[in-house]
Amino acid sequence: MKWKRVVISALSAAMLVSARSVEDSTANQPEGVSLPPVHRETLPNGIRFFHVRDDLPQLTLVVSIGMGKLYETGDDAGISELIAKAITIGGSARYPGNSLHDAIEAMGGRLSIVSSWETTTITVKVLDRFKNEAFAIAADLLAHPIFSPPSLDNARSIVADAIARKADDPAEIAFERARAIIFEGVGYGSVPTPAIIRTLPVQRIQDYWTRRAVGGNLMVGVSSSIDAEEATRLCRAHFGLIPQGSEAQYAADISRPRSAVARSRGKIFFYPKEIPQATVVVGTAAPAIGGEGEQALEIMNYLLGGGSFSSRLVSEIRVKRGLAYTVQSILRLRRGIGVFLAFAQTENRSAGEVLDLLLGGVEGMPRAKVSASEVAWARNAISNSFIFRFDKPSRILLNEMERAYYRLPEDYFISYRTRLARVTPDDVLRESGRLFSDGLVAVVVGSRAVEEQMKKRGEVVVIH
Amino acid sequence: MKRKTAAAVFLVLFSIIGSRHTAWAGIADAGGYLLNNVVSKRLPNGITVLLLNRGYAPVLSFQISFRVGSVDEDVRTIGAAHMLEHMLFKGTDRIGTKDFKAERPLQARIEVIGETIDRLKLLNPKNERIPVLEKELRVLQEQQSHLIEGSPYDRLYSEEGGVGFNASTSKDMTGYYVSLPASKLAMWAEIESERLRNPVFREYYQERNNVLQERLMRYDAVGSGILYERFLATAFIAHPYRHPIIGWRSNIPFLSVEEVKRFYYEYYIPSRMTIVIVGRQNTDETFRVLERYFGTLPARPEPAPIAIQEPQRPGERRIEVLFEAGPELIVGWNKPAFPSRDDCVLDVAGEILAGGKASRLYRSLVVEKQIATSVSVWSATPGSRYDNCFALFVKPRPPHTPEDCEAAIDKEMDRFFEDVSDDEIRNIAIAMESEMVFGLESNTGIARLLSHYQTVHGDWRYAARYPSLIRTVTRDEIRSLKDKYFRPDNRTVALLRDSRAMEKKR
Repeated sequence: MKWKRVVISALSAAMLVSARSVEDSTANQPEGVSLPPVHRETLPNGIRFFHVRDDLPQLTLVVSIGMGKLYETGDDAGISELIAKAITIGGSARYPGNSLHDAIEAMGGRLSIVSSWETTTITVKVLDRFKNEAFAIAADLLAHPIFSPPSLDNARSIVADAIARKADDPAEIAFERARAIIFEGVGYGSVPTPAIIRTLPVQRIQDYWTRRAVGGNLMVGVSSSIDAEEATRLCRAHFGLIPQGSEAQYAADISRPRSAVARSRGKIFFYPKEIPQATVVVGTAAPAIGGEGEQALEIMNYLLGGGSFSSRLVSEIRVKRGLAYTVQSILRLRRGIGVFLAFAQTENRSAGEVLDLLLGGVEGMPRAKVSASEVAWARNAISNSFIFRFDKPSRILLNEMERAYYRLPEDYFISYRTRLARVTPDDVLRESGRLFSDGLVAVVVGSRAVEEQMKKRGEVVVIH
Repeated sequence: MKRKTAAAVFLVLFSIIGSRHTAWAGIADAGGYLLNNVVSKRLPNGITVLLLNRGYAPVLSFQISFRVGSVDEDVRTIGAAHMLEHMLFKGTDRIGTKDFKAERPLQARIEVIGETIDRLKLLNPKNERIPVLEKELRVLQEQQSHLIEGSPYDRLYSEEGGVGFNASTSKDMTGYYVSLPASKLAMWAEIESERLRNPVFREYYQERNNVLQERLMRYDAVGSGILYERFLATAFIAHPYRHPIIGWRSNIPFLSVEEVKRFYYEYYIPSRMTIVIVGRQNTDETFRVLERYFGTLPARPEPAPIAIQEPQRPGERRIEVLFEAGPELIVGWNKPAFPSRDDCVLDVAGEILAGGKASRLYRSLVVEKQIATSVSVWSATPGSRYDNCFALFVKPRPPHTPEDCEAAIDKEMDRFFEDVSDDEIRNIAIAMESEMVFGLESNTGIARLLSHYQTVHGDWRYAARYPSLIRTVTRDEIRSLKDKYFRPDNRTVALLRDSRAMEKKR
């Protein structure tokens, strides 16, 4: 359908969940800004509720559950994804199986149930005249999901096939293996397999959901033309009977992955795949969000490979040498722990050269000269684009849910640019020194000819 | 370009936000909202301008698009539209250079030597002059690197708070995008008009190699990429929709800089250009800025239209691709493009068949028979300016094969043409109404929509009116599609088989 092809979908479902209760409406906005206020309140059962008003005749309802890959260990890797798929297929007591999607289609709405790193979200998007139906559907999916053998088996089969197909994508392989080595197969490093997905017991799946779909582990956000009072009333009416429970936590001890990274120093993990292009990934564990060095790390990442074409790695590998189309570094700081990854995809014959450039650029960062003008460029870029975090109501809503989930201070957004402005070149060097002090895990996916290049550069460990 | 400090920018930025935030006011009808609020004008040189003042945040989404894509290429210029898009990131005689007077002779010599190397390699790759010239080329490139600033636009925009700075090339059009604080309107207009007026194709040969890397990433290393490419080359045997946007792996290394320049001169003309700006603005003032900066771009004559049409099909076309990847299936039927009435009817049919989790094929193949893990449709594959293809994309679920899925599709489609219901059509109309409202949420989404319809279809108003067109589709019209298009002789089937599984069988 042409509209669907060209419009940008509104709410990114991959957003966040739970945290502490605040009675507030307009507190956490950048200084001098008058944006649509966010109404926040905590229901008696612990559900944190957020509302922002939109001028479009629509309603987007986001139910965010603290349940995702970071909560998983080796033997239940993929359980969140399986649950999301099982509910999508099986529906709920009032909306079983196909009737769930029939109900959504009859409203011209959208439904997504998606599991990500830290959360699993149920998002219902409808025209505002269907507001009651949207709340009813989301609440029933939350309270009474169906995990019957037929729908669960279908979900197992689909998720298992999706996992198997990931092995077709060299970038997926490289990232997954790098995370698995850094985080030793837990949380960020958990690796779902078809075997795990096919054998997770039904009872364990049900118990997993029952423990997590509780008020203390839930956030509900509404972006809509309806006002806060009505949205709150609907939330209370539909979600008021969810049991309270408590907030889930995941293991987040950074010393373990840092030790794993240190043990991997000098090694190159090589995954053979007979395709004409190699993927090279290097990475390490990063600290949690909200720490003292957060802004310095953000600027460091911008300078390295997060700042598009002008960043160091992109400029060196792509622009100057023409060795790769895709070059990037990613820094993601989360509630308990974070990750830094840099990667590039290049012809097999230049894989060794690109690995050298990535390792040299990243590990050399603490020793490289960082000028005040470079820091100013990165700071200006991040600071001047800050307004785009508030350019539509749904983003304002998700910012607030994210801040609550991460237990960030009330003035987090207000003081954001001030903290950014304080960062000096010395801060960038110091924080990058801390981040890369244990070295980097290096993973390369490529043809057997690539393996020979790697042997000249370190101890090659062949992985599958 | 002048740059202001971040602090000053933010002061201005947020003070504007504070003063302009408006109270909540509902929008009842999305299509009507666009028809009533989009300001549509034309500059004297032929550039179409679409402006929409909306939102509470002082930000603007900018899109410049040209009605030129890979469909406009010939056998010598395959990949030129995309290569040109890459070269438009390299600057001009004033942007991206430290000393153009010193750089110009180097740039000219690089192009001459590069062209010579390409020709020699094509005639005789062992020609002994090639290594000598390649060495000279490297020396010249090294000398030039000291005189240029890499990625100049990226640096200018990012420092001023720009996000989403990018470009894209499709079969039908090429677009250049960025979102900026609203206070940067004049800066954007100055940069972009300069960018289009006098591009310098510096670092051409490094970038051509990057395009080859891009091709490896998108096609040669990915089973679904190869399958799609081969499907198009089979469904279209004459029309230029058949060749890949990025070019073939064999021709990219020889894509001539002179040909790409010629392509730029021929197709980047005001009459093929649309500027869309959506966000918080005074549209009269915006138009004055556009007149000032873009009004002097020279008009040039329209290139000749494409004469080639697909010939009559004497029978079904079927291919197999072997690759180290899970099996996939694409089935397509050739059909007319927008604004044909049947294009609209086929859109509705496509949505009922494979438009989501309530669609017939999803329900049959994924939920009930459990022989596939996904089914999707694109009813205007691979573009909309010329007659195209109604295509279904399926991932079979092991141990089921592409043939199992193909048989199930045939059966389900036979049933569909017999019993398609009014309720199903009505649901699609409601979905269309919803999608229009949802699409109004972001400046970028609206800008992309207007840009697409204006550039590809010649009038953005089609976007606003499309839902009402959908509501008029009838069951009889859908039923009539079967004999018109969904015949075996009008079908193209492409199957991807896992080469690892084939090895085991042997």
